[in-house]
Amino acid sequence: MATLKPKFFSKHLLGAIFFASSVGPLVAQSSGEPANLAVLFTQAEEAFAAKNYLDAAAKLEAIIKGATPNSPMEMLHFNAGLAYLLGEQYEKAEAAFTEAVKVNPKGQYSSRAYLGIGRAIIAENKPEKLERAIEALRIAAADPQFRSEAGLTLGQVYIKAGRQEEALQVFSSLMGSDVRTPQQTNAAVEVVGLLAETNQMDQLVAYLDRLINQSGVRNAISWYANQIIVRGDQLVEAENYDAALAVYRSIPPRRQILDTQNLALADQRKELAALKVRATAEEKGPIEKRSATTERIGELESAIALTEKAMAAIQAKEDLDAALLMRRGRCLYYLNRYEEALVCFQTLRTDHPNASDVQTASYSEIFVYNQLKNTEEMQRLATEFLKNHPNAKNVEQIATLAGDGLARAQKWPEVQKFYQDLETKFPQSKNLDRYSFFQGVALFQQRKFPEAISHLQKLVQKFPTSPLVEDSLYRIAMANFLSNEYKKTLESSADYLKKFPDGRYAGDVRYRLAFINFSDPDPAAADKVIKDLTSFLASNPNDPAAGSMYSLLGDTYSQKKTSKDSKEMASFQNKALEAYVKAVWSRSTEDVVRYALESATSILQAKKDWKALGDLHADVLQRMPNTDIGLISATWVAKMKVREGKGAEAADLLAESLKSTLGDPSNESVEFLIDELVKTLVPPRNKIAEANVDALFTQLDEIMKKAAAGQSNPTTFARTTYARARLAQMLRLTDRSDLYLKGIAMNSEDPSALSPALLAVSGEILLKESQQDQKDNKPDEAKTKLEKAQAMFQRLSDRYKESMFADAGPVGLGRVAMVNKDYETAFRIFDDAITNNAAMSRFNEATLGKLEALTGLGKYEEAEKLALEIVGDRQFRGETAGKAYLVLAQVYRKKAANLAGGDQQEALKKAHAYYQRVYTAYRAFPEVCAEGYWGAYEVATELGETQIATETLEVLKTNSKLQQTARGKQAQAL
Amino acid sequence: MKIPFISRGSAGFLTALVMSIFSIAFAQEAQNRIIFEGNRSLPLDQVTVNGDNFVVKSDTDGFKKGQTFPIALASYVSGEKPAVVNESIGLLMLGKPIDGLLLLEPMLELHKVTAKIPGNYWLEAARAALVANAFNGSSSKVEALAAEIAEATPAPGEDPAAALGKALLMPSSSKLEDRLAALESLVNDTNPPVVSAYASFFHGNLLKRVKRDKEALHSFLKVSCLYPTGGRVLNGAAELQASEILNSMNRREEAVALLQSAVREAKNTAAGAEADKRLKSLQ
Repeated sequence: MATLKPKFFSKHLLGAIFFASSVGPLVAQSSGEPANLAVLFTQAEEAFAAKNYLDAAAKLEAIIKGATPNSPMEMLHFNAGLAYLLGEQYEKAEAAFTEAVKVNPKGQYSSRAYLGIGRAIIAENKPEKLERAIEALRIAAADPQFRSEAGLTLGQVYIKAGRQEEALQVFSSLMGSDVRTPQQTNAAVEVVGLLAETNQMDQLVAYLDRLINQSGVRNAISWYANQIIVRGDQLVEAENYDAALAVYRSIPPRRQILDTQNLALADQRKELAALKVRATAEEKGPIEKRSATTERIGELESAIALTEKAMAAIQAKEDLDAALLMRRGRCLYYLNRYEEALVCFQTLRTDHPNASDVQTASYSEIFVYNQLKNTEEMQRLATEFLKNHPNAKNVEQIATLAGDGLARAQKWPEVQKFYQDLETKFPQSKNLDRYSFFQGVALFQQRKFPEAISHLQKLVQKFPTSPLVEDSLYRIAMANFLSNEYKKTLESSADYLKKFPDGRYAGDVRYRLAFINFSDPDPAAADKVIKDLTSFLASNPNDPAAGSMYSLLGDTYSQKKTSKDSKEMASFQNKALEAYVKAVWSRSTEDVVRYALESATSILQAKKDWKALGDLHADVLQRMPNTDIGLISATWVAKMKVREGKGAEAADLLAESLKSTLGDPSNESVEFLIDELVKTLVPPRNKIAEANVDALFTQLDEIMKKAAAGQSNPTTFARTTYARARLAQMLRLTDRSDLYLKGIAMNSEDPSALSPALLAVSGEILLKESQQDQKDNKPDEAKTKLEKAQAMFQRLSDRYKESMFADAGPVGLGRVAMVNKDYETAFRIFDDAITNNAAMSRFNEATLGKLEALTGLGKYEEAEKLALEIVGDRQFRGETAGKAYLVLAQVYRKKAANLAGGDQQEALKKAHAYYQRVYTAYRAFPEVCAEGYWGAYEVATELGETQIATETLEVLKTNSKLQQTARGKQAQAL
Repeated sequence: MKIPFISRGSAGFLTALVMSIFSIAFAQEAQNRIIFEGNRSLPLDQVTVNGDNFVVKSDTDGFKKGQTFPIALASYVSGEKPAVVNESIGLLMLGKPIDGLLLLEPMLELHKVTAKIPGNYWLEAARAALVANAFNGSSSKVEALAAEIAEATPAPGEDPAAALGKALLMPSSSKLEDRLAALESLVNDTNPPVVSAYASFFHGNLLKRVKRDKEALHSFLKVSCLYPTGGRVLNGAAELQASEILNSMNRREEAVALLQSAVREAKNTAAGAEADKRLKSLQ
């Protein structure tokens, strides 16, 4: 922003007002002063006004020399000090100020004189005098009028002197003070700068918020706004975007600045007029009887003049609001807060079309969409930009960005058209080869191979020195290969290899050629493949295509069945194995590595070489611990080592691989590895009963201790407990397993320590426990556990959206809401979950939850409709359908409650029929079945069918499968 | 910017130094007072207003009971903004207007005398109370507050807060599009930023309720991006809402950044506490 220039509004200018205003009393002369002294007074004043400070000082010294007993010595010494200070004669300034306080230690000028002493000494830069400066500034800061200015300087001096405690006290008092005067406003701006520079963000935001209401700031709001913007710009330059954003956000809109300033100026002018009247009345009196009116007039006039200048600058800057939007947007962009940046740039573009920043904003908006990979919006805006700003210097950059975005999004027909248009629009561009190349790529990607070949061949001819020639030749070869044009593939591949024998794609081209030979049934072709690939790989072991080439080599050896010599065949098998293993360790894509590993595994299985198989996968596990391949290898390691009778070794290997991830709750492979580890310790099924359980747990604990060594924290603790739970489960000690899992749930104070799996399990346990506490009449415990459960599910929902356990989050939250009888929230959660993710793993549960929420909301018609859909849909077969029937029965009972006579009877009979269906068809689910019996008993009682009710209750009481259910126990208690 | 006397190394000390400043800083000048020209002052509970004059209630600080002088002589209101203002706005933005009003009403009563003094705290509180009452459907209170605000502000005619109140008072049975339009019309550069900010926030709320999340996000973000001087707590509350939507769009990092800002902006309020809770859950 060019318009508001800092030099007009020097950060020190307001401070200078303080000094300049002190000239006031010089104007009037004492009636008792000799005329020559009076002349000197006037001359001193003129010298001050003309900024001839040393001249002013000389005049004042002359007055002091010839002073009479009536002369205002304090004032004279003070002004001499001031003149020397402004004239950069610091030692003389210090001496003059010192004289002033000697004359009158508690006089009208004493605080300012002490402030002057402090400033003069600091400017002298003599460390031995620092204490004196501190002392002087402390005295000045004790005066509320100068607290801010003196305090700021004092604080800075304390810091330099290493006196942190004292500095802290000073700054504390600064930020708590009212800001009224220009000096205090100036100091406040400095404090803002200090807070911003030291990244005290909380304090900065609070302080900025406080300042805007302060009278000093309101009076000089135009100046203040300018200063703050300059501070913000400096922070941006220093890349402190957080603080810069806070600063920019604190500036009111232009209209508000001007309105506030106008009001403040009106008040100040009124005050000035009143002061002038008073000053006129005091004019004839002696100097020593004067009030500070004239001084105040000077200060006010200077302040008004400065403010009017600042306000004029704001008035002239009609697009100030747009400029602020641009600044905020820029900060937000650099803070990666893209959506907010978009709001700023978009608003600037649409609401301030004539602002000077509109082009930059439009350009920035496109960049943001590029970051967000929103190619549609990027395209639209790029097209608009090219139309609206055809002569912008970055127009081609925008065009290229848009094209790249389309290519990334793989919208190939659009890519082709886009670059065609660019070629037409910019025929002189230096990037014509690039535009042409991408059209070729687009054709290739659309599998329009003949057109792609033709296009790229033209490119190579037209731009023989372009850096894109290699890519073009490669794609020509690939296009022929993918078109199964054998002869043309050979020609174009040879063409590429001739020009780029060591090119980026040399390996891949050779691989394709080898592949062609591989497909040739002639045994000589296989030998050629082996020869060519072996030779190439010997000198290019790290080629990007090495993995594919090694795999092809392995396949070629595997297919060689030409020899009847078993030794030779074994040799081929070994060479195939060797090649596959090399492919595994090459830097290839996952699918290549996986293929190679599977092939190597097959060979080792065929050879029954369990040790080698175990070792291979142990290596893979060690080198690729956090990958899917690593997890598969973990399973193999466990199996093979156990087969060798080396279960403990397997456990150690797995524990070793756990070390780096055990403490990371977001790593979901850990629980899987723990499962595999535990399996290595568990004896075969037929020997579990004889197992030494304690010894196994001790062994597990030792292994987990090693895995967790040096990283004991809630996450590793929880996972160690999980390992114990799994061991207990595998040893069929279900109660013990449940106890361990409950321990995790109850003892985990911070959900962020738990992995998604453990969050899901813990949430479930806590929810269940809470419901039990409720039944046991322990409401406080119930509430605590419910809140904990909610926190678990919330964490799962917020942080682990991509996890396989993610669905437990919203379902759990919905159930918590149901327990809280917050049916509105429950419905919203379940409905959102189903709508946003129809493929969710807990779809049935969520649907049932939605049904229960509808019932809770009293929306019986909708509940009935949904329940009927559920029971009619095969995917809900089983317990869910049974529960849906229970809800249907409830719905009819609720309906019955609002009916009378025959209608009521009918409704109750329907309810009874549904309950009967439940206890007849859902015996496999004891709790559901028991609920059916209980409901039927209640409804029969309501219908007056006493005998049926009694018989129903009797079945519930005596059925051995139902006796332990909640309703079964309730029945027995009757 | 080079701060005189501070080297880069010394600035490092400040990081530790300034940490606890705010625990001390705002202890001073806790009680608000009216400051007059010439630096004399009176506590708020010692004056009443009669027309355009203050009337002293009892002998205090050199003033005599019954003494009157023009309101125009008052320069400003000293001391901090009462904490209840931000606290109640925080509650209001979380959908708890009654709780907010309970906190706010005593402060409004006490500070009413400062309504016409530049830089007073009453105006912000009055607008918040207007919004809270509109939420409760108390149209008579909304009208009364709107009239008081209009009287206190220098611009002639109805204060835009009145229009905000009317828009918020529209019953839920009204057409959604009408309610949205009423709020949207208040989001502009002509209105005071606080009015635009409130309007944009509640516009976002309505859209969120009907699952028009993308539009809701835009409305929430307008609060802190376009009208940040509308109030810190409003900024924080809007950022909290926006973060939820962004997180549901799997833009977790931006959601976290918004929550971090919300915690800061709405510090010491219920909205800030909620933002902190969500932040911990997300990190």
